[in-house]
Amino acid sequence: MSREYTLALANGTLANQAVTLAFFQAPSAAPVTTLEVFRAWASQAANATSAQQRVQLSTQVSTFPTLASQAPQKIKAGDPASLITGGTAGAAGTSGVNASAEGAGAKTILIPDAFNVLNGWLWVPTPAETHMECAQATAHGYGLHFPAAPTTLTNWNGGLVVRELG
Amino acid sequence: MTDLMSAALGIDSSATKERWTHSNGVVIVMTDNNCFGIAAPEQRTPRVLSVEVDYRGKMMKQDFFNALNPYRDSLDVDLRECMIRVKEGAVVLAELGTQPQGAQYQPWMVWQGDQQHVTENYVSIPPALRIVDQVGALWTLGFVTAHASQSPQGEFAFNVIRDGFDVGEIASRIECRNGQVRIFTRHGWKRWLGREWSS
Repeated sequence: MSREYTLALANGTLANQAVTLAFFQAPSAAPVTTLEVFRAWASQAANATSAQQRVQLSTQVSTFPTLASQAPQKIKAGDPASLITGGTAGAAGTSGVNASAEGAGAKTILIPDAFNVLNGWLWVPTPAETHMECAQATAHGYGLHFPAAPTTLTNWNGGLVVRELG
Repeated sequence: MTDLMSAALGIDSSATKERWTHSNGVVIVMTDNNCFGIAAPEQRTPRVLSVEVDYRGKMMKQDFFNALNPYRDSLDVDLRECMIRVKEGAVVLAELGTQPQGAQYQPWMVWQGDQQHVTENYVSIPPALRIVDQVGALWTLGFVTAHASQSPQGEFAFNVIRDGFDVGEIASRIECRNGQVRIFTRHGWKRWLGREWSS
């Protein structure tokens, strides 16, 4: 039975650099679960100044970003807590938000996009296009990433909605 | 100093309130009986200066004078709503006055802080995250994923949120089109008519 969780950055101030807003890595030890990413979003509430912003959904191998610890939150009250716990190092089975450092690990871009900050950004794939993350031989995590610092660094919201399968 | 300048300018020094400025060798004095004077105390050679008077942000008078002699004038408008400007060519030497809108300026007459952004036509959720319609309502998709039987075929659909409240519809897309908000449901497009949806 699947359970849905949000991994969200709320009203954060981003570092003035390329920055990861939300990041997780699937567990590599029992209980192992596959995580399906089927929604991502980003928006800012600082001002009404129009600006374009690049955004990516990408995977990253070690070394991972340095994050603020944040565990995924359940959407349905009756669900159990996520198997992913909060962590700062992007390690297996952990998640976090608002990276202070990106880490040297290479990123593989799955979805590159751009948006106007006045409208925000929402990614909703078709059912066939969802991203699946599970433990692999080469450990890698999954992140919502700005490849360039935004013009306004304050009051950013963003995150991922993931489904734990099994 | 203002009394001396008022005397030099021949302005009634009994006026209880004066405003003045001294900039770039030019003195401008205003009194509350709608008189003003301009002088260049250190000027020893002829020098042509211009004076401009703006009333409520619009120019109402322009004149020229020799800086060797004081310039005096009185106006039949409230000087508190005027800007007096002394120039030499295009260069502003001295300026004295109030807001361009004059004394009747109120903060609410101009935008304070960030303006509300009304979303442009043809913006769609997704890829936008939210839409602000003509009346300032904010539309977005919620986090309740609808069952496939409630969703347009081949698309994820979610509850539709307006200003934070669920409007009771399930849709995969929200669009702003011709000033109207419309949603794409399993039964096709629906338009928001202000209080209800079109069928």
